[in-house]
Amino acid sequence: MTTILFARRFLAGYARNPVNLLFLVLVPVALVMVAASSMAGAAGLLGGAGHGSAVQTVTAGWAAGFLAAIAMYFQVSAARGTDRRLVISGLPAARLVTARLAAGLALAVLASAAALAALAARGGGITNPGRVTAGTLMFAVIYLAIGAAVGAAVASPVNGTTVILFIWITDVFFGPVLGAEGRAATRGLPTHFVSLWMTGLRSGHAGPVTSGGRWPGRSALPRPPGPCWPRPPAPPARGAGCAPERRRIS
Amino acid sequence: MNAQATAPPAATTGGGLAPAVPVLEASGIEKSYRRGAWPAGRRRLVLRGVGLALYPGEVAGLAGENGSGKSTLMKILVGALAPDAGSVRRAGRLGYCPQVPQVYERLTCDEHFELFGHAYGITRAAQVAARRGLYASLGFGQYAGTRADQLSGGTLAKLNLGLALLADPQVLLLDEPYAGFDWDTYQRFWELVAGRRQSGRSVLIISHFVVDEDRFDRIIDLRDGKAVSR
Repeated sequence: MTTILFARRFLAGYARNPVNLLFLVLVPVALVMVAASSMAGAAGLLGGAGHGSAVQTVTAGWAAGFLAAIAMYFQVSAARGTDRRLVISGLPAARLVTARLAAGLALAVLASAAALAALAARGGGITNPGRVTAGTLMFAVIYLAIGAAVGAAVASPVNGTTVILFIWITDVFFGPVLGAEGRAATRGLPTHFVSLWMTGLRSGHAGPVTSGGRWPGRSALPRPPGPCWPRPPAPPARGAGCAPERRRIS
Repeated sequence: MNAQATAPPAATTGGGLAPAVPVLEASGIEKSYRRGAWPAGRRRLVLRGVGLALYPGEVAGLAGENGSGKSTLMKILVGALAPDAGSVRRAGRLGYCPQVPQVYERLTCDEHFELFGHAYGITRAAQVAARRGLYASLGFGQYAGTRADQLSGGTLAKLNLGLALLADPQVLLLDEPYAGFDWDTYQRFWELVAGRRQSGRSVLIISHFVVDEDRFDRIIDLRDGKAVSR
């Protein structure tokens, strides 16, 4: 009961900031509705695995992730002193953390909903709504954790948002959909596997049960020897890994 | 450790019948800060074995120059900062009023009292009654539904103090609590403190200078990193 009350109040604080609400509209509109087709074109030039609709689909995840990270960053950093004061007053720290997590998850759902609404409004619909919805939510939850970690470490809002923006840009532009396909170094990026899974692209570098749900840390491990993906006659291999299989889903 | 800063005042020893047990006791507190970037940075020792004790029904003042370590000591006493050495023992509920108001910018005064009431573990009825009393005592009831980021500096200081007083804690630690108060509110603040003292509560007030010395039972100066009773 106390946890729900605290989470509700934290969400009320978020909703009362007009900049947050503006972000909630502007980021999905800018990324999903306006920039998606240009980014799809850029993906071809940069050598990413994604193309066309795959890139346009994954922009919903990028938008949800960015929104969730910024929201959680300010949840953690701006309220740190007052949170500590509550704990000094007697509130169990675990209860406060639970309330912050609950508020964060609600923000992740909200950010995902905004991004998916923009994706749906783009026209053409969403071909595989279950996968795209789950993928977008995974993006938001991953970036929620990034926002919380940066919020705990960086107090200055300017520095904190710059760090988040840097992580996000690196993830997007060097990730497998837009930028660097098949490079081992980029497998540690936060949303490497989620991007591939969400857009139906096979990772091609970890064995048969690879496409989704692997942690980035594990994905960065050296690839085991032997065939990495049972596939029909494949196109010529690119780089060191096996060629990804492309399936368009949206 | 300075023995004078830990010794109970005559008024709290029950006329010499039984020694009072401190509700807050700190001993051998040391704290240093690193100044400058590594490797050129140097450590500056701010607190050098501070010892002090606060007894039931006592109003003590902690004075010292700017940068003498008063707020650092206060943070250590409440548990917001870990000392490099030494120990702190607290008894009962603690109310803490930080020097810079620590509130949620976009929550109203009522919402703050509600959250802090839960944190203190008091019932809703007790929280509502205490909140009304504080609004009346400090004179900011008309801002009950106003967000903290829309309050004036003085009203924000009242909210900051009110959150510390809400649960009528056994020990009150107030860091420059009346900065920003007008004269009337300053007088009301001392009436509240006198009421707390009468009911056996203890109050430690930090100030960079003490104007009303007679309002305190004891004044402790923080000098060269040590606590010295006046």
